[in-house]
Amino acid sequence: MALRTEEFLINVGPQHPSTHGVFRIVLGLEGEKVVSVEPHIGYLHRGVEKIAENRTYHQFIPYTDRMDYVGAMLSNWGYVRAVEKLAGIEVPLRAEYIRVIVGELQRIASHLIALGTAGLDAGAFTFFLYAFREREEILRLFEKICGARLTYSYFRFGGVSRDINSDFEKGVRKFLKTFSAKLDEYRDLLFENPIFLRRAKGVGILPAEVALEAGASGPVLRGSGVSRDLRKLEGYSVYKEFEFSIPTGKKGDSWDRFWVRLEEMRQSAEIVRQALDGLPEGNFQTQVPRYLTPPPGEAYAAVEGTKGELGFYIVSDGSFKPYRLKVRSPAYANLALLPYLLTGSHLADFPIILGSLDPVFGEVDR
Amino acid sequence: MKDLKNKAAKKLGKSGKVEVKDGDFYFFVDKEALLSFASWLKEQGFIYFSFLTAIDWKDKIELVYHLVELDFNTKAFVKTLVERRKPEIDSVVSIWRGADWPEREVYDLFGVSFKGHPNLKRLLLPDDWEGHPLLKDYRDKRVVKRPDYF
Repeated sequence: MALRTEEFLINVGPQHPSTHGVFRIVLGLEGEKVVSVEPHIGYLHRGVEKIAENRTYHQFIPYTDRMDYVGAMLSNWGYVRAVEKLAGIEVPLRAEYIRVIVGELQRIASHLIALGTAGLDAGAFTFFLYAFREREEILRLFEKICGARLTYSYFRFGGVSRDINSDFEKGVRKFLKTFSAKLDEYRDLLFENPIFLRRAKGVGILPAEVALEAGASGPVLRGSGVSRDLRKLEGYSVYKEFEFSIPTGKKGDSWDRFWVRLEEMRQSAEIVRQALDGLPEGNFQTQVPRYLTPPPGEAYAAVEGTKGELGFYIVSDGSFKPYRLKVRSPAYANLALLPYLLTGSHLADFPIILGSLDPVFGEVDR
Repeated sequence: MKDLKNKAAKKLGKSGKVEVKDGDFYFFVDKEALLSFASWLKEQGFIYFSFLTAIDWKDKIELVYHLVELDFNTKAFVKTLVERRKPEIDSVVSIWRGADWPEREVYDLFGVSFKGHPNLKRLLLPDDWEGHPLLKDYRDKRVVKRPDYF
């Protein structure tokens, strides 16, 4: 007699430690295998795009902090770049260098969270503490230049809000001195740890063509072996001045995505060092009217954010406020791949696959 | 990519026009021709679906698709106008899988329905939400109107 079986539905979230935020997913199981996936997002939807239509251009900067809240510097950057393109604002060279320095430090801080929580998901609690120790150093440095630890609002149109001082520079150099050696240690501790290898290797394989068609970007796309990085490709800001490479994965599994983040931190530290050495004298800001009125038209500008291509599409009607503002959120496009990755995998692989996409729900839901 | 402008103009014929600005391509396409133009565009190498959004122009709703060709990093913006009363357009999910969530989002926030979408439900807002918040004439009864400062 054949055993009668039926699909077993399991609900995860919206409050669950392995979802890295407010995210709900309904998984249909057959034994241990996932056969159907239904993600529910929007628990952190604040209507940022609608809010933007009722704020002046300057007033919207703090809202970008609250989108990707672990990579706020780069969210700021994406927005100010789009407005600068729309209004035709020139940025002084020193400001561009400062932006690169804080942007790359922010990338390190954000990737440390991604890797630390991945360790936590796989049971490597020690690594989590190490990652947060390093991140703390970066947050202290940011606090020195803008007074905030998480929501910086450090960027302004045509520059940054304050100049960096020698105290900050000394702190960054001290951080960089030991950071590369620490990365080697982390590689041994987490990436060559047999438990983590068995949890992440060969799990959640993402072929490059699927990733491209879905609009994935950042470490998720590069983990699948596609070397697409806007810093290299478009060389926006002053990235053309620096030498760095773009790490890519081979198989496109979860381990590759984490590995790409680890190597990216090494490259980011290298960029910060070069930028500090070449930091020119000059202004850190240009004068921009408080009530900015860009000419009617539209602009799309993107930066390589911590999660991938973070773009802002702004339509202006010539008034103080944007007529329409659209955020092209990388974490949103990456997260949309989750049904593809989870279908056919084991339930126990769910936390590590989700962690390898590194979603930040402030940015997914906006 | 050089002759893309001519090829696209030939493909579109009377159903649209092409503009090039700062190296980016802008395709203005009639909504009836969108689906066939989209699959043609994908054949030309625009496989990367970056985003989809809409703009409420008060008399019409404009849909904006952003696509990227990867060999030369060519960017394309495909724009289509739909009626504001009962807006409807063909879904491109069958061409780019990345259009799935963006189409649901535009349905959610603008009320544009996408014909042929496999799972057209609200994405960000609760299922029982009334209205489409990103429309310019959207009013929430619970919100007290604040003074207009500007």
